[in-house]
Amino acid sequence: MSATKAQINWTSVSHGSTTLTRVVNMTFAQGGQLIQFKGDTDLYPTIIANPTSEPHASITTADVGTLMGISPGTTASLTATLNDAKLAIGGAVNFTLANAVFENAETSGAHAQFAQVNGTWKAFSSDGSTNPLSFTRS
Amino acid sequence: MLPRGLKRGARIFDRVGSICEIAEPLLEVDRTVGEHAWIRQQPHGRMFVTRDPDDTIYFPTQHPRSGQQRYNWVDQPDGIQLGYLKPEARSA
Repeated sequence: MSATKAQINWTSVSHGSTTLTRVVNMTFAQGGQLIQFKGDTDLYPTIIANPTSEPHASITTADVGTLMGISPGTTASLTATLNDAKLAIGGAVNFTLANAVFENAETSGAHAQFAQVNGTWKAFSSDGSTNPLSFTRS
Repeated sequence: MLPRGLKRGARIFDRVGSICEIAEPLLEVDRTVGEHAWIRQQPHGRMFVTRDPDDTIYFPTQHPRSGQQRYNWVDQPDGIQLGYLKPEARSA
C-alpha cells in the first residue's frame, strides 16, 4: 500500500529513555517570533523580521504518572512519529527536538472523565545557530 | 546544506520525502539499518541535513572553537553545499 500522504496519530514518543504512551495530542512548533517596524507616516508595517526563534513542543496524554515523573529541567531529545493515515510502510514522518528541556507537567481530571496531563518542552541550540527541530521520513 | 527551493509537493510527506530523496544518497543513508536524513530549516532559505539530529553547523558554544564551522563547505552548481566534517569536529 502506498502512502496516503495524510498523517494520523502519534507513536514512538519518547524523551530520552522515557517512553510516553496514551498520547491524545502532540505539537511541535518552530517558535518563530516576528517584530515589525513602522515609522514616520507609515500606517502599515514596512519591515517584518524574524530575529529570534524558540522551538518548543507540547503533549497531552493519559500517561499521567510517567509525565509527572519527569523533573522540570531534564534535557534529552524529544522524538515522535506521526503515522501515515492508513499505516502505510514508509508513510510516517518523524520529528526530533534535540536538546529538549522539560518545562512543566500539568495534570487535570474532570469528574467521570479520563485524567490527562499536559507537558511542555523548550529546546536550545548547541551552537546557537542550528535549528534543534528536525524532520525525516520513516 | 540544501536550498529550500528543492522541496516539492504540498503535503508534509511529499516535502520531507523530496528532500530525503536528494539528501540520502549524498549522506550515504542506509534506511534498512534505521538511518535517516534529518532536515532542519535554517534561515535564508537553507536546510541543514545530516544523519544525526544532534549534529550542529558550528562548534558548540561551550567548545574552545565555539563559533567556528564544523564542516568544510563545497558549493555545487545546483545550489547544494556539501559539508565535509573537519577531523577535529568528529568528537565535538
